[in-house]
Amino acid sequence: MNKKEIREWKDFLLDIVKVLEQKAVYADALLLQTKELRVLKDKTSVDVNSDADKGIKIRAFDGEQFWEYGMSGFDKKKLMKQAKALSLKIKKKDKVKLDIDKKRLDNDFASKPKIPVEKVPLSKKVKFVEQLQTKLIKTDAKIINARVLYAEESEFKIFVNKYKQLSQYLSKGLVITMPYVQTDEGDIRYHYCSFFKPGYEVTSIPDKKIKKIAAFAIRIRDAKKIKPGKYLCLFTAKVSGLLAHESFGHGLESDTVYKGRAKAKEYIGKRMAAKNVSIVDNPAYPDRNGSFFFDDEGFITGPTYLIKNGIVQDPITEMYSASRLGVRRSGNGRIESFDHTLYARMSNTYFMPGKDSPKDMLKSMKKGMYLHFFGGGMEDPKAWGVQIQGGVAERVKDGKLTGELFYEVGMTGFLPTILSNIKKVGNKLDIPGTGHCGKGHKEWVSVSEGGSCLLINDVDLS
Amino acid sequence: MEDIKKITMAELEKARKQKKIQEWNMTVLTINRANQYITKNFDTESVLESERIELHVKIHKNLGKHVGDSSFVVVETSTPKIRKQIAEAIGLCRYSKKEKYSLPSKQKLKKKTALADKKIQQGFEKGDIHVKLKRMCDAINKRVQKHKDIKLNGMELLVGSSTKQVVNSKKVNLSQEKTSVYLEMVLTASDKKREMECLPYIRVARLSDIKVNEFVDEKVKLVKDILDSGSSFNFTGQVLLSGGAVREYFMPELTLSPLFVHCGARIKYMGLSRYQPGKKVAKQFKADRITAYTNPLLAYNTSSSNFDEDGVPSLRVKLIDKGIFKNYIASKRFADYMKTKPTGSIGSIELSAGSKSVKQLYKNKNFVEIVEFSSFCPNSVSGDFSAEIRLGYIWKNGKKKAFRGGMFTGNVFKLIEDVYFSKERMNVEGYYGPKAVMFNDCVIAGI
Repeated sequence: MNKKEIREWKDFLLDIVKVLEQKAVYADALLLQTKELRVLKDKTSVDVNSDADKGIKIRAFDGEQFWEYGMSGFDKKKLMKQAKALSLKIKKKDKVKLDIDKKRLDNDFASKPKIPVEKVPLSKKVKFVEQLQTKLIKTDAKIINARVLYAEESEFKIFVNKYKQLSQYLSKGLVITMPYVQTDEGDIRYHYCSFFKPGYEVTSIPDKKIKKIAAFAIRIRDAKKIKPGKYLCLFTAKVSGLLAHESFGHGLESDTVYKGRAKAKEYIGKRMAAKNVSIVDNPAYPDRNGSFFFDDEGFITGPTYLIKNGIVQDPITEMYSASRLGVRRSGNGRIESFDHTLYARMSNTYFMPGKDSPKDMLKSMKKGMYLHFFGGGMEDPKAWGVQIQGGVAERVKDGKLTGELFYEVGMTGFLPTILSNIKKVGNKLDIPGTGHCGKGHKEWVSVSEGGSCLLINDVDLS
Repeated sequence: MEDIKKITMAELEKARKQKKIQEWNMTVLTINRANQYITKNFDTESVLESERIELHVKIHKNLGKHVGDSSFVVVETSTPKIRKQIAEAIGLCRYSKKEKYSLPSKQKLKKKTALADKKIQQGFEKGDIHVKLKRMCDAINKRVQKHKDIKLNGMELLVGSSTKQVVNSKKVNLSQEKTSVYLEMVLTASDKKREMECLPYIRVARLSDIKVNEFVDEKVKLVKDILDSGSSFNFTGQVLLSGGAVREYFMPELTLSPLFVHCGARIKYMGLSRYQPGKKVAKQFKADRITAYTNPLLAYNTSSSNFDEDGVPSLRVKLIDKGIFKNYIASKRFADYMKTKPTGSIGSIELSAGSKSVKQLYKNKNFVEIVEFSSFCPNSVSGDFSAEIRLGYIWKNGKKKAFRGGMFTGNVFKLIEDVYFSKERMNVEGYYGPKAVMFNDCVIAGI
């Protein structure tokens, strides 16, 4: 949309809000449009596809609950008709006082990629994928296939309520590589690697890195199954991030806390880890997969400490549960799409860096495991159980990586124990995550995770 | 919507007649939703209604020895803009080169499986669907209240009514209606010392498929057992999967089981399948041999569909017969490549009954029973898994004790070598198969 169209939409959506607020205590409107291009190659074919979605969601709060309506497309007549129909259902009540952010703001935000994807011809993108795929597969005959994906995604949103008229344009560039290998026993394994930047600069992957990816895939061929047990572990930033996200972050989402689902509530204000442990969620961290300027309730984003110097802090929030809990708001209200409701969701979640050098952390390990990465996990906010799976670990002996790999490792445990077992926190910050997060198995939003590497004692691996 | 559909079809046909493309396929999907979100103290947090319309188009362009194809979603509403979208997609085809295949031709559905609940459809038409949903929410709340020390801390009741139509340049024109109901509860059990929760959910096609009292009572028992559960331990031996765990093992939420991923013609074509037609799917079989189908024709099952995205009528397909791999799951494209029959939509996993009754399986002396996983996410290619146990029981000489935590680890291709399936089967969303499955020689890693 150009500036004129954005202005027209802002004004029109404000009219919608006014119609709803004839009866409602509060109302807002969110317009969203997404576009995606995917170029995928493996040894058999090239697939080039595009995807798109557009729709509008309006909400009205009657003093007790929200009334929401979502529709595909941008039909103004239809939207106005629906707003009037929705308004008729509303009777003002006085049960819940929403903490509405009344700071007025009319602004437009946009991510700033180094190389906007629109400036790059499709032929170049396809050539990049073809060349990268060829490089991977030609590295070694043991690589039986390799999939390479280049994806570019743009997301445009306009949010309007009585106080805010905002727009944001987010662009994302993603590259995923998956070389496949076959073990001597006939099992098929793969090595998943992903890269993220806001624009086409994501394709600047050095040859050295590509060779490393292929070499690691070959090593995975011979990886064994780990013997279940407790290990001293050095977590890479990716793994630390997953721990922060799955095992802690979900338990500090305000809707989870409000529903009595979060053990973290008992610990707010209390020490749960050493002073060198801090976990942050920050949608405003620039140019990451979970970055955005304002949330889907128009709240301008910023960092929120989940743990600060070992002390558990207030949850990340959306408006309804923040109001009911009486906690300050953060910009974490997010929807999967216009036909989904809003929840408090993480964005970019990471351990803050500490003081220890990662090299020294490795050197200090007489024996243990180096956790390269994991695939994902599942939350357990009530019992603080940890489930993270799909990992690759490497044995460490006398301060050095031994080359002995373990495949499809799972991590479990009790979160407070794991956090209290953190011995050292690395001094470098990296937020490489490129995935999606669900509430259980639904409501998907893009996130990233990472932080500093961690040295943790007695981690249960299996 | 009808206008956009007509414009798009007309423009696609125009492009085909001008030989800019050779074939096209269009899927029109409409989804109406009515959702209720209940929070603590049975307060309604939100009521949502939505209408989603999607128009997916796929085009084919001859590229000499190859074909180029590209798919896109129509989001524009005017003829010039739709024409521009089609032109852009034609441009993408040049780069999307692959071995030639064709779209399916017109076929009649032999049998149209019923997938839609008329009561839900009428609720949307009359505008009183929320009344029905509220009634169900009230009934659930009332039933939970009957249980002491159990709280309903949240509930989501999400109902959808959808239509899907597939048309293509070869005169395919198929349509179907579907409904779905998703219910999720947050149940908390407490005693003087602690409080534990479970998050049971159910996905069905009809409101009447949810037997409120039975469902609530069963899940209350689950959360009470979670409350009473002890901690995990290391174990090697027999593991019995029952309840939600057996369904999730064979039909995980986020991916097809590796046992059936390798039945895919696509995976075979990519050189990644470990199966060969006519050969065993495991190295050996010491107990029951698996027989598995994909069945997209189970009535009122949310995994069912009468046809796939290409417009190929769905078939019940025998994938594995007594441990021998038989047939691929194949879309039209990969069916053409593999010179096999296209199978339509994937559907539920159907497993044949085993040799032992549930009673016989429970007669084993010492074993672990897993009732719920936190989330079962196997590696879809290698078959490896490590899944946390949300609720299990350790059985010793006929007596059981609840536990939670710890990881059930293994490889699905290894475990299938030594397994007993129960004779009794259950039919739930996505899974029609044995109620209980006993794996021998398993590992549980405790905390």
